[in-house]
This record gives sequence, structure tokens and C-alpha cells, in this order.
Amino acid sequence: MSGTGYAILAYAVATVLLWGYALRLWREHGRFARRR
Amino acid sequence: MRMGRCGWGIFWTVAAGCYAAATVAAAWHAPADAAQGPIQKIFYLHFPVAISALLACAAVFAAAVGYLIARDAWWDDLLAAAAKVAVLLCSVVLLTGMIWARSAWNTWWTWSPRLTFSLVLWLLYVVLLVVRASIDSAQRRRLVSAVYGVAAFIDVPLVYVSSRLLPDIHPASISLGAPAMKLALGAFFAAMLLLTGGLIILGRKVEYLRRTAGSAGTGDAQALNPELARRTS
Repeated sequence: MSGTGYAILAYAVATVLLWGYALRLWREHGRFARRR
Repeated sequence: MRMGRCGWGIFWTVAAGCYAAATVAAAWHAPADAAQGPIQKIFYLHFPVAISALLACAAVFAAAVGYLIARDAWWDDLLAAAAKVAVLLCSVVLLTGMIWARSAWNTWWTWSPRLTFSLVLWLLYVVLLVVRASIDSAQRRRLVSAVYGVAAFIDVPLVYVSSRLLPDIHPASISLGAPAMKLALGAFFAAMLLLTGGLIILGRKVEYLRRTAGSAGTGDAQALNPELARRTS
């Protein structure tokens, strides 16, 4: 894999993990807010 | 300050916009490093995430001290939220570092002091979450978490000083020549501070909502009365 490939892989992994967790948290917050 | 769904929607839109702008600045605006080439661009993300991870660990420490002083469940909610964010950020730091190392050092992992202390840091906060999940008594869980949260923070300064004080293959510092490089790094710092702060604050709210919703019989009363929920163990 080229240097650009490794850089893209690193950004993709970080973005999926960080924003996946943010999305999950926001949805969970919404679910609790609707229940109340 | 209280934020509703709409407020959080605006916040995440701003944070995501900042993150996207930082990615564009790093990928296209910042020039490729003369020595390392394109893999140096991982540094613009890796370094701010690493600092954010240490800040999340500091938030766990502050929440642990707050609980030991006040014995208020509010601090335990903050501790749980910050610990999850610390594990997430430490995971991202380790993974992006490993990808960089594979290209730069031709190996995914080496037991250098900085890498070892970083792995220990990740393990410490994973264990904190496992220990929390394994204790049924709320009072005991909060006390054990608080004491552990204070003790686990010892590794944070070790991560920071390890590559400065010990012989280490990990770079202790990197100089950025071009202003566009500094801009990309600054943009990622802004994005990561927003994201980390948002994840901890929203996470604490979710921990509180989960705790009050999960209290059988008194759940509704606690959900309607936050002060009651805070005081109820």
C-alpha cells in the first residue's frame, strides 16, 4: 500500500470510530428524550 | 446550560463541519512533508486525538476526585461518560499510530516507551469500564470507580514524558514549516476539542437518563426530578 493509502486508511478508521460513537450517543439521547 | 435535541443537532453540525474543514485542510491545503511524504498527514489527526485522549483521562480524574469529595452521583455519571470517551480516543490514537508505523517503520507495533505507556493507558480505562459493569451495588461501583479513576491517571504523565525522558523511536516533537501545516493541525485541534467536549457532556446526560430510567419504581419520579435522581444512590 502507498503512503497515501495508509493516510486514507488512518483517516477512515478514525472518522468511522469517532463519528460512529457520536451518532450512537445522539440517537440514544434522542430515545431517552422521547421516552420522557 | 441545558441543550435540547435541536441544540445538540446544531452543535454536532458545527463540530462535523469543523472536522470536515480540518480534513480538507490536511488532505489538500497542507503540502506533503519533504521527508515523510503523504503519511505525515496522519499526524494532523493523530496528535490532536492524543491530546484529547489525555484530556478525557483528566476529566475522569476530575470526576473521580469530585465524587470522592461530594459523593454525588452526578460525578459518577461524568466519570462513566469520560471513561468511555477516553477508551474511544485511546483506541483511535493507537490505531492511527499503528497505521503510520506500518508505513514509516515497516511494522505495526514496537514496544517503545511511548507506545507501551499508551497501550497501558488504553488497558487501564478498558478495565475501568469492565470493573464498573461487574459491580451490582451502585454505591460500591461509584466508590471503586472513583478510587480507580484517581489511580489510573498516574499513567497520563508517563505517556506524555516517556519519549522525552527515555530513548524512544516515537518522535518527541515534530516541526511544521509551512503555515498551511499549522492551519491543518489547528483546525483538527478545534474539531477534536469540540468533539471530545460534546461526547463527554452528552455522554454524561445519557448516563444520567439511563440511570434514572433504570431505577425500578422510582425511575419516573427521578426522571421528572433531577435533584432527586442526583441524591438517590
